[in-house]
Amino acid sequence: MSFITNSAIYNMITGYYFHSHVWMILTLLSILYLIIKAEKAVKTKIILAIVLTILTVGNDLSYIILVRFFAAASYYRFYWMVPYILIVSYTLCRIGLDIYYSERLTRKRKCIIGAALVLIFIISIVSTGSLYLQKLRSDRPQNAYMVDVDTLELQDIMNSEREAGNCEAMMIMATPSTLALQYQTVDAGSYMAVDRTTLLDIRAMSPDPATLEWYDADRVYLMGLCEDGIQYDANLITKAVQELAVGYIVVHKAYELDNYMSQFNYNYVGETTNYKVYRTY
Amino acid sequence: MIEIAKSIIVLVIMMSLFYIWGRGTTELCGIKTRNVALMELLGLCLFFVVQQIVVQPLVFTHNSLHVTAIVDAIVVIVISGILVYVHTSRRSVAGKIFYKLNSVQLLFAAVGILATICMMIVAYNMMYRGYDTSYYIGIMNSFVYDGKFWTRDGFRGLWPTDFIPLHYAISCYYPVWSIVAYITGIPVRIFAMFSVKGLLIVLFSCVCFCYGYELLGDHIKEGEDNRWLNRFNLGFAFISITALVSLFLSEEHSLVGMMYLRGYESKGYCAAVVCPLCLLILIKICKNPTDDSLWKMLAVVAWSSMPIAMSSMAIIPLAIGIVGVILMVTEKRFWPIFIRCLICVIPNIAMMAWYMLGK
Repeated sequence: MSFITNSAIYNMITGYYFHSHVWMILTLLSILYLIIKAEKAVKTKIILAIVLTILTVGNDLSYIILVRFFAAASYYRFYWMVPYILIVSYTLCRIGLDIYYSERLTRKRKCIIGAALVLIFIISIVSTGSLYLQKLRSDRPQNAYMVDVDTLELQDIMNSEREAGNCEAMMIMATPSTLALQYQTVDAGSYMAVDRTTLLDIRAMSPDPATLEWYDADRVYLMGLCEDGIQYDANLITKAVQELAVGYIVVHKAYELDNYMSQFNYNYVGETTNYKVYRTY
Repeated sequence: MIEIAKSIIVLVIMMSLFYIWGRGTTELCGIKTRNVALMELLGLCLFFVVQQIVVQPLVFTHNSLHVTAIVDAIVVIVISGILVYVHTSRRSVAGKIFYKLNSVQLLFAAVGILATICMMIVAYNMMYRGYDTSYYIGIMNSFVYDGKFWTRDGFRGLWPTDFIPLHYAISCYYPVWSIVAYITGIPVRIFAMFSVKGLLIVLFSCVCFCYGYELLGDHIKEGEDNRWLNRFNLGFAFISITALVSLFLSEEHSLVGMMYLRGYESKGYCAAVVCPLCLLILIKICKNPTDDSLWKMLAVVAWSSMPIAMSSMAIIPLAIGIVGVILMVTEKRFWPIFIRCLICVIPNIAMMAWYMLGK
């Protein structure tokens, strides 16, 4: 068994696709049941399909070859052709139909067996835990846009700034990444100086900003300031905001950076529930 | 609230449009089915095939969103008009579809629809702050804001760019929904979260209905088709069971995760509609490889797979290839099956070549 559990493909499937072994076992049992109950001609086709699937996308060699063309993190998508929720649900219904049509069982026995199977199934799936029911309990949207309230408050501030003529239609903003990633989905009238590439591809490597291209280095500095409240040398931030032409900087209130921001000519213009907004003058 | 109401109205309009297109597809291809859910799904597929042909040339020749929307709207209205004319002016292949339902069927339908509404409520209450959300909705937002396609980089905070990311741009999915958001005037994020995601839930229910109607229905014994046990009831029962089971998953990369959390992305449509629908048709083909109407359906689904989602690029040809090989071996009919499979996967292969060469 260890050669299976140690294989890259097994880890990919359990890590990305099934997550829970209960679901994997239920899927395998479902496929087994369908094979057993299938007519001979169909049975051969199902077995051939399984063999060919394993040969093409279900082994380590294919995995190594295919991830050269498709991202490793996208490999699980091949398994969307095995929609396990539909397979398991279908098998459940098939079992129900098979019990209903069984001539060997009395009506009473059919009911008992059916109820027992449904009970086992419910216990199995409930034991896997539910991501969605947990999320429904703990993290529900607070507004129609389904974004954090700070995002909409920031949008209001920016709209006020536009109406007051304090900025051009397109503005450049540096904000913490959580806010930046949400903000660009509600207001495309701004360029975000802290972006997804800086967050995921550059900063995640913990690079020395001095070794980066100027536009990446500037973003890393701004991200440090906005995200973590790091008070870099004012000259570095001044250079970064000038090179990227940043008009607005947003930082968390808890960092209390009013005095620091004024060192490179940024003034407080408003605040959201958690953040303060500064504008260059 | 008004925006959400408008989004739901758009969802209903799109479903009606898909029904018209789907019914037209079945009529024109001679597909004999009374399965309305299947018609909805085929309508979606045909819609995206046409969108790819109409919208993509305009996008890649740098036309504005305004011009693209006008051309697209004219094409959609003309085709819809033709399809309505086709199935009102001639005797339907499928026959009468909206036949009178008995009380048991109404009960099953009510429970199935209630299950769909429950799935929609769950999907509408999922907060998801993924990096991809930022990219996809951000880029759609920029299309509508700028009135141009692919002029900004969603990975780099929507800064201007000349580079068209083929990884996403070969599919017309995001331009098409941006056009609809532009025409209806609904803020892109609300449109994506309520119309596009809601539509996916309804289409997934249609897929479930098809599994119950087409596959489970085949297991009803001769003469057993009665008030309680018939294809229609099995279809709705399957929706209800799948909806219930879907709540107890914990993986966000599976079909259900993609649907509940990322239903506005093309990936959600690929995982929850295109792949299961393709699988369903392939299973039906395995059972009856000589039925040309099934091959026609497969072709429509396969051709629409890349317009709907770039993720389908290799998945659908691979699945069709596997089933094609199996049928060639077991049916001992090499060329007819090979040619049919080839016709189905040619658009994907062509677009894959475009993507690989342009990368």
